[in-house]
Amino acid sequence: MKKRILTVLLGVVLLLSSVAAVYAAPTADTTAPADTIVSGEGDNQLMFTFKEKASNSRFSLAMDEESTYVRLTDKTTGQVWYSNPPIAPTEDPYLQEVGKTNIRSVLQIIFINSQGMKKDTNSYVASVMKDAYTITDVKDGVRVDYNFKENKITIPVQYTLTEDGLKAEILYKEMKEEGEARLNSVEFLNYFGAAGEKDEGYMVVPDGSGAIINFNNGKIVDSMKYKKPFYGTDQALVTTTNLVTSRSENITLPVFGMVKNGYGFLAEVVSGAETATLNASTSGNRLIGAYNIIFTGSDYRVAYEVPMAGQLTSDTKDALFMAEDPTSLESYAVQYHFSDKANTSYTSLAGIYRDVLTERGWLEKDEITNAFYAEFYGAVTKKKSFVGILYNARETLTSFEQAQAILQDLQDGGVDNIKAQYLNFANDFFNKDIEIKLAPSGSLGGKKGMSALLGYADEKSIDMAVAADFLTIKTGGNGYSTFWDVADAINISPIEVYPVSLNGNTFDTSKYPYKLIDAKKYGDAIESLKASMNKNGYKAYYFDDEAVQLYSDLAPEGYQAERTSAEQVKNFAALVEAGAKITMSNPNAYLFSVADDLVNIPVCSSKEILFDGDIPFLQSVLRGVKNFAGESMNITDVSDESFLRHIEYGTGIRYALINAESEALLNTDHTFLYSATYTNFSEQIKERYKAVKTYGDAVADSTITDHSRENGVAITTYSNGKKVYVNYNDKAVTIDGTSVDAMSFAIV
Amino acid sequence: MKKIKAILAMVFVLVLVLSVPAAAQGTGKSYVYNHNGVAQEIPDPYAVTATIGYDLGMITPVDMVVRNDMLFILDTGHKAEDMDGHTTRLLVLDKEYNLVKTQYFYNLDGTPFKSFAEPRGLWIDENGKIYVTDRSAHFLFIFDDKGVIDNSLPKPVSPMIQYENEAYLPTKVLTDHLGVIYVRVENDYRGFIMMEPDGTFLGYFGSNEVVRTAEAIMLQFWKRFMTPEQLEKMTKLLPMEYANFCIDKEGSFIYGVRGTTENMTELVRKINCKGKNVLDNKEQFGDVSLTRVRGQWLKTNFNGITVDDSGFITTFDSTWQRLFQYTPAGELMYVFGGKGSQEGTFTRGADIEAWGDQILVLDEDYATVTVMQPTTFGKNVRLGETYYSQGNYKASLEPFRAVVTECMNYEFGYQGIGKALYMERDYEGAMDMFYLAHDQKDYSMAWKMQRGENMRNMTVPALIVVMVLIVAWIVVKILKAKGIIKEKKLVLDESGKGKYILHTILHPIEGFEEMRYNKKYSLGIANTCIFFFFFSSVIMALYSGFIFNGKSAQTYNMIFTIAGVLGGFTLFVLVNWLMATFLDGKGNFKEVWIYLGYATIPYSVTCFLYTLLSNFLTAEESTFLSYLIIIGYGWSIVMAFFALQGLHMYGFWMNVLSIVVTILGMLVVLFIVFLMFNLFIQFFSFGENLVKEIMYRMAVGF
Repeated sequence: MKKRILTVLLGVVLLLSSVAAVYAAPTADTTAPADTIVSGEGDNQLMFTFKEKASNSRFSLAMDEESTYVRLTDKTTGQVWYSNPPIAPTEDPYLQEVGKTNIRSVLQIIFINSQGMKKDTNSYVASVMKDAYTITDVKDGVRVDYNFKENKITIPVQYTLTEDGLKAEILYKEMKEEGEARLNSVEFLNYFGAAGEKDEGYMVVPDGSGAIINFNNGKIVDSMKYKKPFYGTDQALVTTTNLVTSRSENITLPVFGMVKNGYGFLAEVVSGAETATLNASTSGNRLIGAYNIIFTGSDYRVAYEVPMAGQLTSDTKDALFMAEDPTSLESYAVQYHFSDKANTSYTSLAGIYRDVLTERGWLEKDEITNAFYAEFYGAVTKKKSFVGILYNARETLTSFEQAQAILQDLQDGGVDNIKAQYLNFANDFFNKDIEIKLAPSGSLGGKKGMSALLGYADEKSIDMAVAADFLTIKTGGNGYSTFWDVADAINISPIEVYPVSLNGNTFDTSKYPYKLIDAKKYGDAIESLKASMNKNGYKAYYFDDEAVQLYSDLAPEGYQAERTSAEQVKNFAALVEAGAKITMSNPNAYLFSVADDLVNIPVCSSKEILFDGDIPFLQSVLRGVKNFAGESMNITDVSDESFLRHIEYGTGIRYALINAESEALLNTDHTFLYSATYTNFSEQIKERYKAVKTYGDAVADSTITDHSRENGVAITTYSNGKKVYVNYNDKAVTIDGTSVDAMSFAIV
Repeated sequence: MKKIKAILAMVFVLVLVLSVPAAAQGTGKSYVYNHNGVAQEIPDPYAVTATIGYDLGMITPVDMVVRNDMLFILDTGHKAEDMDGHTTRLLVLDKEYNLVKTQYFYNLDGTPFKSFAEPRGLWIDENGKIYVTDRSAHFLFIFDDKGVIDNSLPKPVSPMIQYENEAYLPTKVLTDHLGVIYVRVENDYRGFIMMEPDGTFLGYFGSNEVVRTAEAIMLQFWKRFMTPEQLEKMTKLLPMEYANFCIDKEGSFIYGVRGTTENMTELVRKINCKGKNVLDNKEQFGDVSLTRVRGQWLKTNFNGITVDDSGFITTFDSTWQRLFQYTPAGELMYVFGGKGSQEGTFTRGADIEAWGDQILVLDEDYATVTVMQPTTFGKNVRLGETYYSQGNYKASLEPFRAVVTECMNYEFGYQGIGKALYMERDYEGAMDMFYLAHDQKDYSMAWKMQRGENMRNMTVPALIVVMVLIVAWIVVKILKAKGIIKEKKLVLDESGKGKYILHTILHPIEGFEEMRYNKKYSLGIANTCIFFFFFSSVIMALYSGFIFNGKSAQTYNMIFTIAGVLGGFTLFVLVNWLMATFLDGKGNFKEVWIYLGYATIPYSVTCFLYTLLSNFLTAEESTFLSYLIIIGYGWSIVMAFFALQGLHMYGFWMNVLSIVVTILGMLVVLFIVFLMFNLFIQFFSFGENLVKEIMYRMAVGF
């Protein structure tokens, strides 16, 4: 009797538990997506059958072997991401001819044929349609070798699952060019994660401070498409035809992102960002279709048209120059990191990237100081005439003693945390030599004056960084020659960088150009800088925009961009090792690990027509782990609005300071400093620093966790719970019970 | 200079008290041309406040008009099946750029109007009638305010319109207060077609005169020698056509703009009701000194013009997608905008309109309207200019001062302050400003007034001085007569060589001949003269008055004077002496040197006098200086001629021959020097290329 009751009980328990098991299924939507998708009708019908190729605890990777489309399923969020939308192109209301095959391609390539002409094709038309591809299983992923039969090029593409996403790469090392055709560039995964017309969200582009592009924003004109190289302009590739003449910000982070229906991803170009471009476009265009896409393209081999010298008419074709050697990269790799939270925003994507960089060692948690950054200019060259004899005089703007006085005045006025950079002070600069010896100019106080200034700075705990530059060279000297030691452009002539003429939109050849040092020869410069440190007692160096730029050397055996960046990191690191503190002007991400302070961090984007708003993406990555400040306000925009923008974006303030009055600048090429006279701004700086200090004390070293801006009111939330409200309206507003005055901010 | 320092300081402090914030940076680069025609960067005068049109679904918007506080945009290029049979529509927006109405076009019976082929121009008159020019349909369509067709005006008929077979290509239209219709027709250089509201031809408006360039004059000359066949083949010299036009609020002027012409001062014309251009511009419109790219001159090509309520003229350049704003008198204030895909840059600007103080730019490609508003900088420039033209000079000082504080290089700003100070009778202040603005003409005017004042102030002291001198002279004379003061003879030079100089200057012909016999020449004196020859040239170049010598002392390079003056002199002496050997001249090198040295004296004296006087005279008195130069230099030349004649003992014609030969000889020497210099450069360049080539080959492998 007892036995029976027990068995029945056991059976009931088992029954109940199995019922419970069924009902207690995880609440996340784990209904697997249909493995077969059919789209289109009749002759145009397409069927996609996804077979799983790899899986880990969070993701499942599947591929349709007919089309080579890849599908990534996120088991945690239930989101599904396709490499190409699984639809028949005929179903798309916008697509026309070439767009119909592009949407089915994973690769869109440009190659140079045997006649030396650029031609383009894609992986669907040239490879998949002709069944000329092979699929191989690899560990944690799958590999597809696309054989572009007609051109005898084989491009292997590999997908591997990672802990938080997918790594997609083009295995350059195993590429084959068996015919006469040469691969120029390739666009990769154009349609990955493509958002349709019913999806809500936006794409994130790290242009300047960052910008968002809303899905389906109607900006469909061809020329509105976004296309920009990562890491600024490579001067080796600049010609009169592709010159950028408007004010434009650089992309300093090799990432892009998407937030779709509350979920999203942050993609980083982990290998090959130096020669890659970022592209984005919204739906409604006849070449793209009803999709919003964001993707990258990689330059495998440099090849571009150069107008021939002496070209007389527009009928003469440009000459196509092509580098013999392709890139030295082993692979071009894009790593997609998927957010595991609903309500993903650009700040959470920035957080993902911050974690990636911290793990890699590019970012370390520095001590956050919220200092005031001052940019001093020593002197400027001015043509003077002595009874008719013209000579170049050094017009003093701020001598070392005067700089000390200014610093003292600032400190007396309450600005107790100052980081200063001293420019235009060394004999190297005035003699147009490469700035590595850095002997202080006698007209400013000489070695003695500099020592006194450094001593004072040390005593008052002020960082005094002196400007150096081992990348650019104007005239020979200091051990470098403008003939042997410089990088070449594609026509084996040294790269010469002229300023852009304002009205002619070409190079202003009346001004003195600079050349760029061959990356292989940085070593000697670093030794010079180290020696200068010992000789003059420098503790910190400042590298301005030109001194941190990325460029290629297209001479045979020259270092192209990817090796130049590695050389730069190596050499800056050697300097850090020797004990120098380094301040850099808006450097590219790979230099983060060697910079202690970053300045000229932009608080806006390039304001492209395609953008729908500026966001503090860069700041969200850096805030809390790195010390950074914006551009000198009195040179760019000193208005209250600009100051509030700095507060909203958590960016430090910077001013350019000189002691002299503005007429010292007449007839010089530094007239942009006319409003830099210290006495005109000393009150404003002290006032504003008080606000900065309040802000700094409140948020300390916390990171940005959320940001929004609507109706002229911006709210930035920090990881320590503090919120900063900024009110740009001309009337006071009340947010969550806190009243904020017009054109003012409040911290809660 | 100290004065300027003080003024600038005062200006700066004054303005800082008023705390003028700097303008936010836009994406295009704004600039203005300085007196040298070099572009200088300035703060952005306009900033983008909005870009509208993304949600309007426009395909190809071609034109827009502001009327009755509304913005009308003509949107073409639609497919009839997408829009109920309409291909073109009119979008009406209010001041906040919200769409308030979409106006379609209908036939009299209410069916959609289908005669559009290529609508290009739009106009709304005061009664709300809608005018649309259609280039390919060759009509001007007039609709009532409900969009119903009222009239279709074809090419007007008149004996004045020749070329009957030429197609009628109307692209822009407007009406004036009297209802007269003006049509801009493509490829018609004769001006705008004027019509009655019913289409009756009234004539051409704003006909341009043929530009009399040198080429045109030469052509006229050669025409006399050509055969009838050749004349026919020759390209007709026709004035350029207008590209676009607009009318001001009062309807008193029609502003026409041309694409590009030979004569860049005629690009913008402000035409009054008589058809005459009232703009009298010496400076050219548009961009200066642009270069060629691939053999094409990328010159300014205006395709849009608008005038705002204050009379400022804004034009749009289709080559570089930039906007130029001019004062009502046609002076350039600034240039902004640019080509690109960023906010504030354009790809294909089709039309611009002024609305209040906003400027709207219609981009045909992007199908957007960009709205721009003046920044603090732009506002102040316009304010200053407006006050000045109203006669409110004192009020114009503040905004102009704010402007130059924000932009130290802005010559227009200094000019504005200068003009205001001039009208306020502060001539010294005005002069300082005009100096900074490099405005010689106005500086001269201010100096004239200042000089007048100075002289008036000095009359009394001057009189006193004169009286004192006269009295003193009388006293001395009396004392001498009474024997109290002894005459003392001053013997400066024993040899009398010094005195002889004067003799040669005043009596060149005999003086030089005699000098040969008397040997009353000295190397020392000659060298002193040559030194002054050089020195006076330097002084003249450096210290002449600003009115006559615009080049600042900063750009003066003494090397040129040394090479030109001293070098030229030495070369002349050398060659002359060389020529003398086979022309049978009697002078040796030293003698030629000395004689010609003497001849330089009038030149030196002239230079000193010129320098002195140029600091006192005004521009209108420049003829006086010209005469001084002619007489002074001329005298030197005469002396030189007779010096050589006397020295070498030539006859008159022989002397002429010898001088001609000398000049030719100098040219030969210069030519040889130039050739050698060039050769040297070539050789050096060759060497450089050789080394580069070798290096390249070594790296790449043979």
